[in-house]
Amino acid sequence: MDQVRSEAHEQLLAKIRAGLADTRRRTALYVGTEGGRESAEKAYAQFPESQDLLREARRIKREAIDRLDENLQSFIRNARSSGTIVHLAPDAATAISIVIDLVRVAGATRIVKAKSMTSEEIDLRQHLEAAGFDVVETDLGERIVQLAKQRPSHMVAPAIHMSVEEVTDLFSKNLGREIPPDPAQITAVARESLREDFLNADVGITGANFAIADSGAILLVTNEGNARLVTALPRMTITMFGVEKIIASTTDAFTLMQPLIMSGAGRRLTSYVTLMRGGSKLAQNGQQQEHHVVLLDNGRSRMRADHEFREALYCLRCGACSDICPTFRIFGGHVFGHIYTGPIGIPWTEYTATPDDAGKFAPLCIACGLCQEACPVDIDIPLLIARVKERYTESHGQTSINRTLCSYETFVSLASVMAPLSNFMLRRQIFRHVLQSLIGIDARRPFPKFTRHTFKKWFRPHLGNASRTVAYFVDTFADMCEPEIGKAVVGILEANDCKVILPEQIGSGIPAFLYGDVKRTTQAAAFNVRHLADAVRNGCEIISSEPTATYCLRELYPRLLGSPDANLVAAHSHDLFEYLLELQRGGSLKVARPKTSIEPAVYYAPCHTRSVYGTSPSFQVLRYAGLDLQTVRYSTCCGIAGTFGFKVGVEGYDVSMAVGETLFTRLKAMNRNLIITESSVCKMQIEHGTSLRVLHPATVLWKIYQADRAE
Amino acid sequence: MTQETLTSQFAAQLQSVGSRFTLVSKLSEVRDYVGKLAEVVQAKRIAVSGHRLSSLLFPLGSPSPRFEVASQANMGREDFFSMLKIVEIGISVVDLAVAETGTLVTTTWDESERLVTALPKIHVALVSRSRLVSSLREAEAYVSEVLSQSGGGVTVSLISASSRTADIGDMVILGVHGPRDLHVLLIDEELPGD
Repeated sequence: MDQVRSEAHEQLLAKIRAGLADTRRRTALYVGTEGGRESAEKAYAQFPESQDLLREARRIKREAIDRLDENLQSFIRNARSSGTIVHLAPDAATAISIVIDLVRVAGATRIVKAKSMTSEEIDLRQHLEAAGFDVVETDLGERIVQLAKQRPSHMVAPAIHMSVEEVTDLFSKNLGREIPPDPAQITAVARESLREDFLNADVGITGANFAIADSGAILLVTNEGNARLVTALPRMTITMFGVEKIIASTTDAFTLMQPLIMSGAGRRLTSYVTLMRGGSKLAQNGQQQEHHVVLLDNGRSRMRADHEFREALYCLRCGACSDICPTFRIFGGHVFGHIYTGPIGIPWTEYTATPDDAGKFAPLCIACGLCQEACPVDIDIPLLIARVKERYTESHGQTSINRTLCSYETFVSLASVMAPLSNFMLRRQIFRHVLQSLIGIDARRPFPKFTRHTFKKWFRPHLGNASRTVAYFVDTFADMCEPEIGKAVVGILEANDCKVILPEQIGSGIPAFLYGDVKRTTQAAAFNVRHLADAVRNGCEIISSEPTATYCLRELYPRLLGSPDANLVAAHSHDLFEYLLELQRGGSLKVARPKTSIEPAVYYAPCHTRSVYGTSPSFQVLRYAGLDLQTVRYSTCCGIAGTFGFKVGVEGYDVSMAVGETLFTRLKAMNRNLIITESSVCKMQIEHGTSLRVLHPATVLWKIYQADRAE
Repeated sequence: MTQETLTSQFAAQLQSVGSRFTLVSKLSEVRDYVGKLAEVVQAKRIAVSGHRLSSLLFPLGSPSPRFEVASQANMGREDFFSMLKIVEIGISVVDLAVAETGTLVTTTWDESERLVTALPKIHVALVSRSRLVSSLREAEAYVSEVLSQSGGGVTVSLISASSRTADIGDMVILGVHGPRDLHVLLIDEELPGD
């Protein structure tokens, strides 16, 4: 099946085109997501035990989902004993009719709502409005998108995409008077107008951040305090949430709310955390408030039954994956989302809406892996997104350019065999235009140089005695484009008394993963793991020098294969510099001091280094070796994302350059001529975007060793 | 941890999010503090949560002709609710306070008590020194007990800062729905819970 020009894909491309052109929106999104990410980082930095907390949080969510049936029964029992009326809604339609009936029977007309993604999921407000009720969103961000007749573009910050001017216009129109374009004054005006709504409301509707099984209580997290007024003033409250929100105990709630708040709000705790058990006595008349809970399934049981997607139910809805996602930060949730937005929105859409809804925006994921790094409960979002892409392409076909790029590794081998002719051709504009129009590779994107004198042809095992043997898992770039990198890796390892062997291996298969050809990646994984596991059993540690290769060995292969061998290989795989850092800690790293003048450089950490290590081992080793090295302040991807940045125009190249823009500007502003990064594709992107020289850290370190030896 | 380090940690946490922290030794100082605050912000009405606090703090009603004191001790429920909509300052006592996070823990069964801390522009919270605990975990044990023992109709509020939003232009603005200012007075005397 071929989906060269499907309507859904054309619609996505049109949205991408419009999104790239909307600079006001892009600025608002960039500032908002950057602020979210930086404040979260600060919150965690001030909390030294956070790693233990996050592990515990994941354990709690895993158990809560494993024991969902039991917790659900207990929640219902305890909520009922506190006077709460519990309703079960297997699907959206049932939930809507339950709520409409409740409101109608109560003779209510005015409803105030607190923020709830679950109600967005089923379009609850729209249905209530259609049934004639007056519904007011009270979270300021939600109120803004309600006035704009839009959907939230971010799970935590619904109006993150809007500029102050746009918000000013909305409130001015809504209130029929001119309001100055100042956030403080707009907020003051909103307070006044929403206060009337609170005081006049008959019914309050909220979601829940957690529902506690052993007491039947609901936990709500808010900074604005609107949820307090929504639950305190109206004579009836309806709390609607998905069954995955149920956890066992108050202890669990206290643990989980902390990562939710630190990742989502960037603070140790939000201004308010409210725990309610049943309806309290009303201020106006002393009567007990009528308290309803609507428990929504709507695809969650099916998600739970899917052994891979089950993990998506651990989501705390903190939005951290959106704040770090390179393409979300350009487009926001109206493009990168269906109702649930951002990276985790893709697997959530698969089950709470339809696979088609999810598959349509899934191509915006460029598989950088940063979302998993940002996720406080470590959900393997990249794999779940690859599955969504896989299912979608299985039923709708693959675009021809994606199909071609899935075979990128074969293409590289071919170009290597044909070098130098391939290099000559790839530099000819006329040939590049043919490639662009026939295959869809952007003519502006420079190709790396290929060589027929590959690393593998050069390599001979070192024969003498050595204290350890290591196996090198070499990537296609270090093999067929820059064999100097591979040679440097071998040189450094041998200088540190390691015998290097090269077990049988093929390319990692990651290019196919990006476009959802998970089967092909899995085949490559199986082949590599089979041979590398033998090497490990023979006492070898596995070394790679390309972050994506390390990412495959340590993170992706074990998830794809789930086999003991894959886990074995993962446990014994290292980035070269992590290995060197270990030697240094053990006191056995033979360091060479830079006696030649290596010029001051800037280090850039590739996404896959960050997703595996959090920090960067090569930066530490090079600094230890005495290099004058600074890092660039930058939190997201360089944009090229493997082969994504090769695709023509809005399919890839334009997006990739937009993502990298800030990085290019910041690198150039550092006034150093040398950039160091270990990723081959980041190197291509940075060279292209800045015209600066980019080297692999192994190449740099090897130069130092060689100069040392020459003395 | 000593009382002093606990207190200074609590104070530092509160101040880091813009709340005011003051140490007082007895109730009369609270009365003076509130009187001055009312004068500075030109508050005309003050609501006090709970019968007993109100009769302890203002046994003779308002100490000043400039402001009125409203509580369920001196007026009926409906009048008190009407007052709540317009008071500028709300005063409440907390059950526990957490030094580690600068958090105030209160339990309410009656929404008029919770609204004292949610509707006015200024919230003044009183904490007896004996109620200051070091960690969130200690508070959790208490909250857990409240929730499991009450038959229902109970709300526990953890308050760690004043009301705020960053929904417009990513700028933090205080007092979007609830109090803009949070004043916390740590008092040596024991205070009544209602």
